[in-house]
Amino acid sequence: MTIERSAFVLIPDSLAPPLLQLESRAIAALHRAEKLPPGDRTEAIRFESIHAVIDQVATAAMANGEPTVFSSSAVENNLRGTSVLHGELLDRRTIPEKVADWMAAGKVVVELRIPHSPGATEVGGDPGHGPPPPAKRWISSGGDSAAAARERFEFLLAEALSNPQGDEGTIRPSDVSNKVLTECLRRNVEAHDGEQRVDIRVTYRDGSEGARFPLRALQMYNAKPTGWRVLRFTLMSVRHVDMDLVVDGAWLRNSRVSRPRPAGLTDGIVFDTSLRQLQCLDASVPTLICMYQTGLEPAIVGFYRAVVHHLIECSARSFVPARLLV
Amino acid sequence: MLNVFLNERGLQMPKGLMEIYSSPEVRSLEGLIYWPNRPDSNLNSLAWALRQLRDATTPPPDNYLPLLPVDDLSIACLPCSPLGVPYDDYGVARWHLGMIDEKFQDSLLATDVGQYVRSVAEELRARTFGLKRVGAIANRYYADYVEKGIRPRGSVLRPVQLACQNVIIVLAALRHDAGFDGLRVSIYLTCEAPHVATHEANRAMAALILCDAFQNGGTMEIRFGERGRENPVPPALRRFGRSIGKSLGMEDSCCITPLEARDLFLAVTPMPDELRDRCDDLFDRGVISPERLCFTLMSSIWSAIELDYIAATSPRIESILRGGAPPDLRRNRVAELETCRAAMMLGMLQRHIDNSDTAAQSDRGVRVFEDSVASASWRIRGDVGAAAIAGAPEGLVPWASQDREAALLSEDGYLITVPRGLPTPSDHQLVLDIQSEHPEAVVALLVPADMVDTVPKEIPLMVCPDRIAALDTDIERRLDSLRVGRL
Repeated sequence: MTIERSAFVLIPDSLAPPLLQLESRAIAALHRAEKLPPGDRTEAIRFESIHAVIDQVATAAMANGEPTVFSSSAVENNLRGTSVLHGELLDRRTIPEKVADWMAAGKVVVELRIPHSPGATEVGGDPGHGPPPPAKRWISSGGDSAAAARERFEFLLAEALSNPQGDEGTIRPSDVSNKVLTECLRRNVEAHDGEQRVDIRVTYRDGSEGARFPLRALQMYNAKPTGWRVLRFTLMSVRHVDMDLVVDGAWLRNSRVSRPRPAGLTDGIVFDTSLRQLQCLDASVPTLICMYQTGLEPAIVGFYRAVVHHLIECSARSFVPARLLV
Repeated sequence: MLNVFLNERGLQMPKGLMEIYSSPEVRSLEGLIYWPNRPDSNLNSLAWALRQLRDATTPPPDNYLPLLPVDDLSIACLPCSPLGVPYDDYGVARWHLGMIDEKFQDSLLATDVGQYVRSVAEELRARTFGLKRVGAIANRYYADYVEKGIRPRGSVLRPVQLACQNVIIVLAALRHDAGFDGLRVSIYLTCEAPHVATHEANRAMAALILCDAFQNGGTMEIRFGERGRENPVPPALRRFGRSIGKSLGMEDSCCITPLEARDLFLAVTPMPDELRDRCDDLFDRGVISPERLCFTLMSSIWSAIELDYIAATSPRIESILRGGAPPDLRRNRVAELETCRAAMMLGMLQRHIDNSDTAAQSDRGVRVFEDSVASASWRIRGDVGAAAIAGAPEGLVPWASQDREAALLSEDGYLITVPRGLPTPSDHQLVLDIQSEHPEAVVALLVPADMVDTVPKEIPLMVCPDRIAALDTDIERRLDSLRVGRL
């Protein structure tokens, strides 16, 4: 296995202005990327393609004999942004002395992390740790697919609650109907006498994880409050347009949520959006939200996580019954 | 006839053979078994089969007793032990009658003759019903999904057909079953074909089943038949398992357990020995699960040579297989990209060598592309990030740079290539050092098309047809598959 080293290449003065222009375009792309929803890589790809040109210029400069300093720094280097160095140096300890001197003289330097220097590097991981064990077999007690899916989800939920820190302590909402998801989470979010709050892992079929879901965390009431403001929402816009006549609005914008990205990221977006929106609602009057759900599992989990967090943090002025669109 | 055959050749009677001839299982194979007591003119007599073997392009050794046909052009034979030596059970071998590459001749069909005959009988009994059923499933699937252009969920019963050169070798139907959170294979039909390697249909189908089970989530348990009317693990699959030393259906005869599935996944995923050793090390360190690695290879996100290079040269393999570092951590990202660029160029080079159109330069007349794939073998030198490739066609080095002196590969020569996206002066020196270490090999730096000018003229150079931007686009596509696919 080869060793990673950083090559600090001094860019000749004639090339510095165009290279700095490229850098500013790369930074702009990076800033635009931050504004995009998580998982949208349009601007990230633009940033990378611009930076690839910067790397090529630096490589060409190195090949032309421009001064280069090699440094065997640690593999993990979590400096964010471009790898173009110029201007005032904040911390001289992070780069070699000579490079700091170049920068002090107003020069432009590009750092290239080259992974192919000869030598042996330690592989990650822990020798003898072994791979995760194969999953345990499970079989439903009977019934149709929907009943089996419910039973499986309840089984995983119970297992996660009994061992929240272990590898098995995770729920998998993928391909579970929104009815099962809502009812199971609703039942387990309630804290009975003496029960401690448990935050369980949420893992989706694509391997991504959402934030932990708090269970046994709330006092729940079955009575429907009277005299509260009632707001009716579909969970996502443009999924069931027939509903538009009976709802006050759509909770989430479909075009923002339904995108190809890791399900855990979608869960996070829905959670953040929902929490923000719940806080806006809470500022006015006690509100009863009637949510007409659609079947995108990360959206459902993210929304109800936001509801639980909101109710934990605030007094119970918002109440969300499980209403289903069939 | 059987005694004459054995006595003439001085062979021992294979254990259990007489019991097989008289067993009830072979009744359904009445028309297939080469019976010793039938007249020579009979197409399923031992004498007729012996004539077939004798007239084969390559006749088998004298001790091969024909048992029953595997397909139109190959026969299942029982190698018999000579008299005077301790009895040895050689299993059942497949002997091809036509012209075939030597490496495919005499391959192991089954480890035990009794099990082989029983499993073939069992397999053929289920075939008629299976064919009807899979036809009905395919018609319904076509109407419900293909015609409407709807992508089915994993829980929908989906028909599968695998064919090789227009010959169907696999028909199956499968779906994710919430009843046990695993994959249910309702129909499983495979067959051997003269132009397909032994057990290849079962290997391919096993790989497809395991990839589907992995992609659908769940426990990786695989059950066969319908719910309530389950079948044992298909005999052909069990036979294939035994031939590679994997016992299937041991804990529960109707299912492949998650542990058996893991073993089988590793066995059916093609990996050179060195890559397998590297993967074993990664499993031992807990860096990656076997299922994830096998799926990555089988779904061609990374090919074997690419993954081998990444595993051999980069401590960042875990991050790469999870979709890579975030773009704003540019330093980490460059290190990963450089490894991926080098791996991708190697993969492209290997495909280029494997699919070289040597027919275009030959004087044999008709150009035949089919079956002309070479198989370049490789070895990665992890300490310097170079790859030795053997099996490239004799002559000009592939992708040789036109602006410098071209090296020529001899017939038994090999190529050592140093793939780099951003070549540095130390890489130039490395090429010269490796060349002095291996004077018999052709050593060259391999760079993207737009990095040629950064390499001095005296350095032997190979130029990948793609530029860095094109390589990066493909890398992003692959990393994206790893981010949003089930891993």
